Amino acid sequence: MRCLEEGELRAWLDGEAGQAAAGAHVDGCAACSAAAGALRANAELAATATGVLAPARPPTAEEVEAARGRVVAAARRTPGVAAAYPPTTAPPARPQRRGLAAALARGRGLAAAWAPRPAGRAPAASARRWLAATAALALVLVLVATPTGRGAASSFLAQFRSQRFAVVTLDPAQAGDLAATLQQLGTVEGGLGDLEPEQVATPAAAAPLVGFPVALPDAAALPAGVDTRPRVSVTRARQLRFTLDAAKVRRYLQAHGRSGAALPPRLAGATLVANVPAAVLLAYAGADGVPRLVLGQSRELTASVEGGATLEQLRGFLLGLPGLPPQAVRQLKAIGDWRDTLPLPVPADRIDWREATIDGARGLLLGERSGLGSAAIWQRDGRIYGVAGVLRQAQVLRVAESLG
Amino acid sequence: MPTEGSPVAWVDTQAERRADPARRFDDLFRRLYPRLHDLCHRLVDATEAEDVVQEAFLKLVDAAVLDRPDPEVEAWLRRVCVNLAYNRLRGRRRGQERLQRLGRLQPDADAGDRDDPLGSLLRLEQRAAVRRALWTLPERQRTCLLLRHAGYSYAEIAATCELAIGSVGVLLARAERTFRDSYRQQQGADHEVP
Repeated sequence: MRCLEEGELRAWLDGEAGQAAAGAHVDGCAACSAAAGALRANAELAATATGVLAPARPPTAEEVEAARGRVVAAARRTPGVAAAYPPTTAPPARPQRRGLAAALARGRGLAAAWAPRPAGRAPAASARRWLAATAALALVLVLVATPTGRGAASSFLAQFRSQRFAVVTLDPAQAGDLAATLQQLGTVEGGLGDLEPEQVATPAAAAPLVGFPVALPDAAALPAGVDTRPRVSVTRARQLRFTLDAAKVRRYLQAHGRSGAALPPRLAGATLVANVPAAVLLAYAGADGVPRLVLGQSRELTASVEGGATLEQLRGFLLGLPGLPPQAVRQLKAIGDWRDTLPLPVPADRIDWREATIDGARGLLLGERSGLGSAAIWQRDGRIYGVAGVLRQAQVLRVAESLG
Repeated sequence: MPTEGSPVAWVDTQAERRADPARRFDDLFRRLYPRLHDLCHRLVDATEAEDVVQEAFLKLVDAAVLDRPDPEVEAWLRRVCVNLAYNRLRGRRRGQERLQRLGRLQPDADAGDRDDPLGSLLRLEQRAAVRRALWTLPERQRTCLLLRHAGYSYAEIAATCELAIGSVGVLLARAERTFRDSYRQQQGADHEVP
């Protein structure tokens, strides 16, 4: 047999060539044996070196499903592609705002209150709609974030008290769908639509309005170039109430092909009460006057049920409803510590997140995929803290850690 | 029945040939996503790797290749992933230069491990050195090398790079030799005492 070409030798090393004949030749040929040895050394070096580029672990089945969900959501928004789907799978176009704060505001109740807004300008109608939708979304998420399998005595008054957070990825378009669904099932009182922050002079002046001393970051931890004197504003506490309406529920179920189904009697008139706490916002602006960093603080969010039902019963009913986004429902079901875990709806297509220890407490670090915006949210000693800005995660963490 | 939430849940006119395209898409996604993520992670950072693979699958939703046998779809996905990753790398280089000029972004976008900052720093530096060495290779050699060391067979590499299978060993041997020289040069530069 002739000597092997370099490519043939390399293939032989990988078991991709005529093994028996090539092996016999290499064993008996000093030149080919030496060449194979050199190629093997090169291959081993490349394998070891490029091995550091591999991910630390493969994605979990849940992560793969979440990724698939994001592709599904994106496909439905793609012109031309969406046209190929049945009308029910293509959500209507929604008003779009850009930026981390806007993205968070679309999906998260407290973030909506914390989103910076230029002074002296009323929110646009689309923003108002989003805020209203977000309020309703927060309510429904608190509702359905209750677990399966927990029996509750009939005398037990279910309570929710936020202590930590869990991300629920959501197609931004679904936020409005959820809000609309809620309106179709009952009556919503209160909301965040008219939530106008009141400006106050100093953090000390905000303290009596929110009921706790306001924590300030170290000036040294602030990003370079921002004014170290923040613009301070306060949003007042408010209550959101959602009451199930038997007639509305019946119509909703009929419209979704479940004519025989009805609201269980014990749920008729049941009211979920969510107490959204007062919050203080510190906005640090750059030289151009545009906020670069926003820091929010509030007490915890609580919720309870009035009437003869429990949160478990409300949850069981709501999770069985047709028409809710199945991906969001699956994630909500997976939350174990439901009585103290606040689901945080996050737009699946724009925001990445990871759990992290922030200022000594468990929290979430979120980042806009462009890499320009980051946020952190955590709860410690009965207070919720949030930091967001046009910053890298390390900078956001530095500000967060300086609050301790 | 199509899997719940599938993007290809339409009534497929080619259903007789491909009985259930929605389920096929979902199966492909679940089966291929981890390996494609591994491949892209070797080129770009973790977040971008996810974006790249998802973007590739999004392109697949209405691509004609979805009607082809699995090996062709898999090669197409690998090719799209690699091209998207290269495009992002080129764009990121330009973008980072622009953002650094504006003072809005520090150069390293990879998040470190806060519990092990020294180890994190060393790994970041090691990854950077490997990527610098890889970037000295011609694109096709680089792709061959990455695919091979991500565990793909010669047939899969040939299909991805649209090569004759007999050319894979040749390109791989060249790629690994060039990589060795460049990587050693990088390491030598890193360890030089000023």
